[in-house]
Amino acid sequence: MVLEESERELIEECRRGAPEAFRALFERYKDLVYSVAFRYSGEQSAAEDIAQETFLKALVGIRAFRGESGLKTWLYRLTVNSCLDQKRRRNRLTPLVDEALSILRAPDLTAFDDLLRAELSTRVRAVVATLHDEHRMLIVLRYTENLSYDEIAAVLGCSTGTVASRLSRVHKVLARRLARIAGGKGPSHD
Amino acid sequence: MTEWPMIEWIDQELTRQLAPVPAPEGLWNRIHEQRRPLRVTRRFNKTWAIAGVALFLLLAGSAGQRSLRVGEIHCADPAEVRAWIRNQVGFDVPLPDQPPAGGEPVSLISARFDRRRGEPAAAITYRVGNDVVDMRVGPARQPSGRHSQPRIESTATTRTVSWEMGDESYAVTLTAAAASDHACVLCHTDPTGLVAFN
Repeated sequence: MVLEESERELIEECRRGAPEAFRALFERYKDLVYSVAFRYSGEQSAAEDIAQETFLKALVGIRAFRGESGLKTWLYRLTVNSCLDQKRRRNRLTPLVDEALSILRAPDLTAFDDLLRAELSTRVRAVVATLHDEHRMLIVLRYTENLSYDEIAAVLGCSTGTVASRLSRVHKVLARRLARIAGGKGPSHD
Repeated sequence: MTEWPMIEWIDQELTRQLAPVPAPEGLWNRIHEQRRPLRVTRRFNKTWAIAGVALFLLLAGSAGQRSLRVGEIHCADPAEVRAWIRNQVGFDVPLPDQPPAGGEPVSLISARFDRRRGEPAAAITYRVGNDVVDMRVGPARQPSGRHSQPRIESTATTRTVSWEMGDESYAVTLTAAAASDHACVLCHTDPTGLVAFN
């Protein structure tokens, strides 16, 4: 992994303890970190906690950062770990999951496909919130950050094939759950 | 619902609904002032305290240390973590020099000084596959020199596996979704013979 010159300089400045360098790093990556945190947690206060923790970890960890991955990939990893750590600490993230569960328990929908599609589109995020932590993170990296399979694999430390198969599985889980809400039969396989 | 391409529709909806969002204006001030999060736990306070000291050290211009000396080490080398715990906490956690081969990859993330029942303890964080696992090691209630039968306590979201070995007590916290044997794979290649999991 070869770091860009500007990235390398920024890292060196951060290591030297230059406050303006850390501010520059923050400005460059704040939206990335916050977006992942917010789309994963579904809650602004939790996302701010996660973003704050991530940048403080970056501040501490940048001295040990060896440039084996890009700075962006490294920050993604810190963010993913902060999200998972935060989730474990809080045990469960509310109110998104509660909201999701209440929506899922709502009365059956109309059978008319147009109405159904419109109705289901309001429920996609709620169903995403019920996914397993790692699957939800996969969805966030793919759809919020628009990362390629290779990039997701680098962030999560797994193979590209694993990313592809897990994403395929998550798509089918989402399709099945949404179809169940709609009262339809959904895809015939998981 | 199966008449229209559900997966493609989900793809479009996810792209639309999970779009990036800008960071709030006050985020930098929050980081700079090291404000506490809105809802904190005891462990989180420690994290912030550690990060605060680190921020101070960095901004004060101290440089050159490989890892923190304020109660936490970020390191994947078992030998180094083992030595650090021995030095900081005073007891020996028998981490093998190399994580056991086979099964999902295991890697150490960090260790930190902690307290358990008022006594010095170590909290070790490691990763198994995609799961992050916390292990607390503190003094045993009743040192027996033996590896006691592990006890498992579960909540809706977590599972804690605890046991005593030698003069130490161990407690490993996993997410409920994680495989139970992740509690053992840091040190054991084949944990299935050690614990009768649920």
